[in-house]
Amino acid sequence: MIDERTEMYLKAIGQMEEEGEPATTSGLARHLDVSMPSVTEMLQRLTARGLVIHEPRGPIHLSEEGQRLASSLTRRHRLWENFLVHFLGLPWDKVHEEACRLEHATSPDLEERLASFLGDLETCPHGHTIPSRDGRRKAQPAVPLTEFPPPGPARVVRIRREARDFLRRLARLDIGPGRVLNTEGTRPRDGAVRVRVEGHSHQVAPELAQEVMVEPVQAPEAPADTAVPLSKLRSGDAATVVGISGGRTFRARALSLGCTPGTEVKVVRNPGSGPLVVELRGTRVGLGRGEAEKIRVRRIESSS
Amino acid sequence: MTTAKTGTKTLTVALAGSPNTGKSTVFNHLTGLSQHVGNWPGKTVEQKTGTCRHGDAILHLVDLPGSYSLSANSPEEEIARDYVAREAPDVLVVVVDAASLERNLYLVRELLELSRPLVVALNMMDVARSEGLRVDAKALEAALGVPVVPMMASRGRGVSDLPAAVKAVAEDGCAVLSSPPSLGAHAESLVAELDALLPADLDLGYYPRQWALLKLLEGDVALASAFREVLPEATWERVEAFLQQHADAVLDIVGVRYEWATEISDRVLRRPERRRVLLGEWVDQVVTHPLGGILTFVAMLFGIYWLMFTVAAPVQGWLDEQLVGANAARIESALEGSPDWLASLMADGVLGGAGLILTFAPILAILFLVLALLEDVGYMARAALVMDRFMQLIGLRGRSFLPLFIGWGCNVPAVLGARIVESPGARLTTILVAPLMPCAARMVILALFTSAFFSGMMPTLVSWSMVTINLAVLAVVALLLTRFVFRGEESSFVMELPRYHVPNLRTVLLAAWQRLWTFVKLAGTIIVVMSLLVWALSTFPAGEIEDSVIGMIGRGLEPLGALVGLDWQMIVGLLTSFVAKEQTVATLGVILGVGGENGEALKPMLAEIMVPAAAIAFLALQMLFIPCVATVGAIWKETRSWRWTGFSIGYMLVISFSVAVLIYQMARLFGLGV
Repeated sequence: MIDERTEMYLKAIGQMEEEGEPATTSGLARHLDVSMPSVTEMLQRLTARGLVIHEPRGPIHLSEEGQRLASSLTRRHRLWENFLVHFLGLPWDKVHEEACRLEHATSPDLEERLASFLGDLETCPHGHTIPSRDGRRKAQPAVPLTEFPPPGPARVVRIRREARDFLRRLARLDIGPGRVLNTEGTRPRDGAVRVRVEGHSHQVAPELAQEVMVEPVQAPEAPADTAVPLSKLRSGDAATVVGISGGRTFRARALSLGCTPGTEVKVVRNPGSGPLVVELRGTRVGLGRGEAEKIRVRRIESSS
Repeated sequence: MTTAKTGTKTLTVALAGSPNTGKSTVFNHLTGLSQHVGNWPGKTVEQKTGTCRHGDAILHLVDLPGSYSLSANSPEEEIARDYVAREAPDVLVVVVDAASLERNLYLVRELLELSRPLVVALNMMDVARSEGLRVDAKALEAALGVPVVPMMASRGRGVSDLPAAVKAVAEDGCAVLSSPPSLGAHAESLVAELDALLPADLDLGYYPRQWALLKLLEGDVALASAFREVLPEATWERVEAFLQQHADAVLDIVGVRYEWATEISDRVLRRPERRRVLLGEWVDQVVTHPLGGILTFVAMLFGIYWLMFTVAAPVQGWLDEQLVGANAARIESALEGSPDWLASLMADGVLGGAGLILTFAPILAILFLVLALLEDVGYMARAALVMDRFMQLIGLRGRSFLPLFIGWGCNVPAVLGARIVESPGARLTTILVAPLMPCAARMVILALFTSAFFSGMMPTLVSWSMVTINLAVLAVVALLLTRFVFRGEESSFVMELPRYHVPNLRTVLLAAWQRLWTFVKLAGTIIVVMSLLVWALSTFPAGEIEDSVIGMIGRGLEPLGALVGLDWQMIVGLLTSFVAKEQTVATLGVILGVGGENGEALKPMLAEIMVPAAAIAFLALQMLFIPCVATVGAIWKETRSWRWTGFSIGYMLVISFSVAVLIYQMARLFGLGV
């Protein structure tokens, strides 16, 4: 008979492997909130029982038997979570702790009943794949939100940490598996990720963002961005304004003179250095070089 | 408003419009000589008001500062915006340039969003026609839903139809749109969200709530600070966060307005099949050319100097002789028998000071005329464009060039004109260096001294060196300020280059006259008073100048003066230039006993008391010396800071003396000390 503590170790190693992070003694200690010596001691016992393959100072791997046990345990855990959320109506931030207790008291028979009762649910409420009975899992490629290149839409695949207070913070931001986040970049000051969720903007703290695993949403077709700064155009060129960056005053002034995205702008004179003269909605406008660099345009190929 | 007695109605009519739409010409035409030039309450921006009668109605016209939109990007635009939004004039007239209809319709659209009685003055129909554009005023009227009055204000045609339209609108209010044009679902939902963040009973003073919210969303800084003041801190933080999230909403909002403007202009405007190449475009080929532009500019400067010295100077001499000199003699003979000091007071004190203003007027008149002309033609913006890259070398932008350029005439309008510079640091820098521009008053002294001491090409050469020194100091000071004091500030150069116009004589003359009159009033009072003071200081207690109060001060400073080769008379002359730069001449006249009224008589006296080296040092000192009282007043008014005002005086005092010492010692080495 395998005791609960052993099961927790196996499950933890299995989940670390699932996330693609090599299981180490220190990683395990952190994950299970236990001391390093007790991890070392337990690993020796697990190795002796043939559940774990581990050389001192080397990576920790599950044996085939260990894998089977861990996978089954994970499966029971995630099935219970789904049951609690979908049938007993518990909030998703509460079910992890409950399932942790229930998983150890679940017989293989109950596990199968539960699986057939829940039907074809593929993931737990936090987005993790439920392993099949034979221990196979579908690979789910995803990157932490902190590493997702902005800007662009990203779908939340899963939440790596399932601690209650942690999930509650995410719930407050309306972030959960399946949500599409419009990433808008990182705040340099503290690394918080700016995202737009259902039309609302949020700053996601870095410690939250790195546990939120996302995948890119396939945009229908990304238009090739051939925009260049206005300052790169030559005298006589025509172009369409794509966007304006820069300070508030500059933007407001340029906009009020009609330099809105979509407007056609003609370069009357670009001496290569110093200010430019452009024609905008029938008016000539003088534009400093630095300012012309902040206006992005798409060249219009002249027909004549 | 109807007054029961006479049955006449007074209507307040605000005249709005973008710069370069001929708004002033329309205003001048309507009000004639009834106009009054003052300042906007609490501001230094010029406010022009005037009246115009139409039937039983009196229209009280307010000329708003030119603005491209109702977003406050400059103090001028803020004034125009606040007046329109808060003061609720009976009728708004917006002057529109028919030749750039699309861009001008943007402001019209913003005014329509305010749902106030509106009349469109469709100006420059002649300019549009000359470019082959046909604007259908009736179709525009139908599209906008407000009266449109076509006109050619520069030729005086069509303007007289405006009062009738204004009166009709005021009477039946037909020009108020029942519902302003929509800004689209996105912007409206954002305004609604913003609305929900704010307490329902929020008191915004005179601003309509929805409008204020929209402006807030557009990123209006002035309104943001207004909201910050009335909102509890926690609420403001939420509002601010919301605005930050939707910082790009302004692109949509402005975009929607411009789409509307394009659509309407397409509907009412017929363009020529073949675009004509306009004369102005040829001119621009030269004037905005990096090299051609500079040459044009230098030629302009040369022209201004030439006019000042060949036209203004003889007039000045004539006035000096015929008016001041002759009258002084008359007064003296009339007062024969009365005590000496009284005759002296009248002739030297009063007439000397007043005469100075009078003789000084021709130079300023020329300068203001040329500046007004260049502005009306449309050259000034080109000058700013060409100078932008050079201004960047000293840390400023093209816009700062305009006030500094005006500084050639007088530093007071230069300091006041710095308001067109948008970023605060650049504006302050412009204000602080503006007094280094050699103003016309200093040029008078320059001309007097150089011709007293030198002959042939030397006067011109010395004058040019002095001006160059001033400009060099200006560049260094501006660079230091922008590099070290106002670091990292946003500055930008985006400026309309208006079409060239045939100048409207009336507008030019009126503008020049108003500036001249304002100056004469301002300087006149101070100079006459100070002339009296200097007279008193130099008369009492002993009756002899050498033993007078001012003489004692001058003697006290003689050790310092020795470093630059100046004796006490010259020091006193310099000190009194604090009153007004040209006061130096009057003071020296009084002290040297030739009378303040006669510059010519002063020349031989000067040559007697100074060596050429000292004269050059004195000129450098004079050119760089602390700004005159009026300029100091203007600096304080603009900066509202005694610290910066003090700084301005202090740094100029230090620089002027250092440069003068350097020049005097060097000039002696070169043999000018004998």
